[in-house]
Amino acid sequence: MVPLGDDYRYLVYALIGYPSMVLGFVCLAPLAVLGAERFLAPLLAPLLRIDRRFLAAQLSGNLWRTIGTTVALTVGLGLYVSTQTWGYSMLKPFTPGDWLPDMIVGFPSGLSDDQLMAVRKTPGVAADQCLPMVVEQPKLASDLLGAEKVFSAVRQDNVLLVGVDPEQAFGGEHPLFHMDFKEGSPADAVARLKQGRQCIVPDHFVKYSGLGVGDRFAVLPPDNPDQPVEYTIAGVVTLPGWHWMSKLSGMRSQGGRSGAMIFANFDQVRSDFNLQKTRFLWLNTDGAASKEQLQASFQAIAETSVPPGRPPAGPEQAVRITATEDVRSAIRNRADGMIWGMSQLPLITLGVTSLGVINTVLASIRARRWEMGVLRAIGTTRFGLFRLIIAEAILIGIVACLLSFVFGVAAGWCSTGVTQYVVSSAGWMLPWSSRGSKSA
Amino acid sequence: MDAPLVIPWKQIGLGFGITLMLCFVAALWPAFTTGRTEPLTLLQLGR
Repeated sequence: MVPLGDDYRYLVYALIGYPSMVLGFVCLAPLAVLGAERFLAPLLAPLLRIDRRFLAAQLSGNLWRTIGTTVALTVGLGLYVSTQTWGYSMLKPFTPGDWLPDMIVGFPSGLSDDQLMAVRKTPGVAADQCLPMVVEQPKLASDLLGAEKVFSAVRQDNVLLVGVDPEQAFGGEHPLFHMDFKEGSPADAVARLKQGRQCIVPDHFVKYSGLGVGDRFAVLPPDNPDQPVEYTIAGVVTLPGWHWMSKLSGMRSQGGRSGAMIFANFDQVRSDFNLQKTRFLWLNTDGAASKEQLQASFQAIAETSVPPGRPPAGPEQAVRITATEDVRSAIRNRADGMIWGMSQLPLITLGVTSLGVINTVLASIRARRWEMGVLRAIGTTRFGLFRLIIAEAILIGIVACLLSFVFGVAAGWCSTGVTQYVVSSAGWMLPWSSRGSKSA
Repeated sequence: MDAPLVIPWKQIGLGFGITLMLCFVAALWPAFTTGRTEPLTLLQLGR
């Protein structure tokens, strides 16, 4: 990769890369028109019951006007395709992935060993797929992720440290987490995590910090920030959707955003951060109970720790279930609405430019009136002529679709790559208020 | 965050459908009027 600052990288793309790509696709338009006429017109002709020879030069006979209309249509449709591709590609890392178990259950008052056993025996809970965890959100000892230099959702000054039983979480034939290891392996990571201060980090943490397997970093326990603790990276995984799962489940004990979700040994995290109680469980269900039934059962278990005579737990002490599928569908529904909202302007553009199709078809008819008169004279029906003209318009539409697809996917994909540099920048701000006060 | 390429086929198919429909509708009137024109008129206008 060429060494460039983030702002310059975005500017080079906006001023050189993107316009060059647009120019390239405009230059490809004649080829697309001729290709469609050569290969697609013979397929369209039988569908409309037209002799394929009639469509052999339908577009190329009026080539430049056809290209103009096709490019005009491609402006709207290409933007629509690129917006959709960009939107859904950007959404993927934030959508809870298949690595996640069915739900996170938060017990604000914490769980005793007896209560944990009761949870495991609750109807609807897969007993061997119920993982207690301790969670802390310590600050990094140094600015590993570059939070002080650039603003980004995942470049923060703290991480989310999740302590779990390594064997149950990642080991054996049926681990709770089915993670995609980018560096290291599950077996190796489990062995290392059992040794103590070792951890599994997400790939973006490695990318921004420049660390790798075997490297160490330090975090500051919130209760004892003068005594940093060091963890060694034992594996690198992808964790799509960890942001929303951690946010909605209330795992971020210190509040705000976090730079990464990092997994370590349960006992090690508990002792390093003085976490006495297990407040979260990550579990799979067996389908025998609904979410509401599980909520009621878990709440009843949580309230067994309340001494007799004490008032019942308030809303802040209520058990919180964060179901992966609920989060997934909520994100998708919200994203569908947002991406569709962004796509409306390109569709309006497409509607306006489709008027150009009328112009092109009229010009084509005007140029072929003699030819059409002869066709009618030798027996072509009125409907046959009708179909011939419709076929030309549809061919123009097909060429626009082909060009828009290739352009839209390429532009959307490139924009996805560049977006990480856009959000990294501090953003431009026009100081309207100060301008106003000075001019006043 | 590195985002993988996702091609939303359903949404893109909808866009293509709208485009083809617009092209079809745009050509309806010219095609209809041309179809109704007498052959002799077409020949005279095309001279």
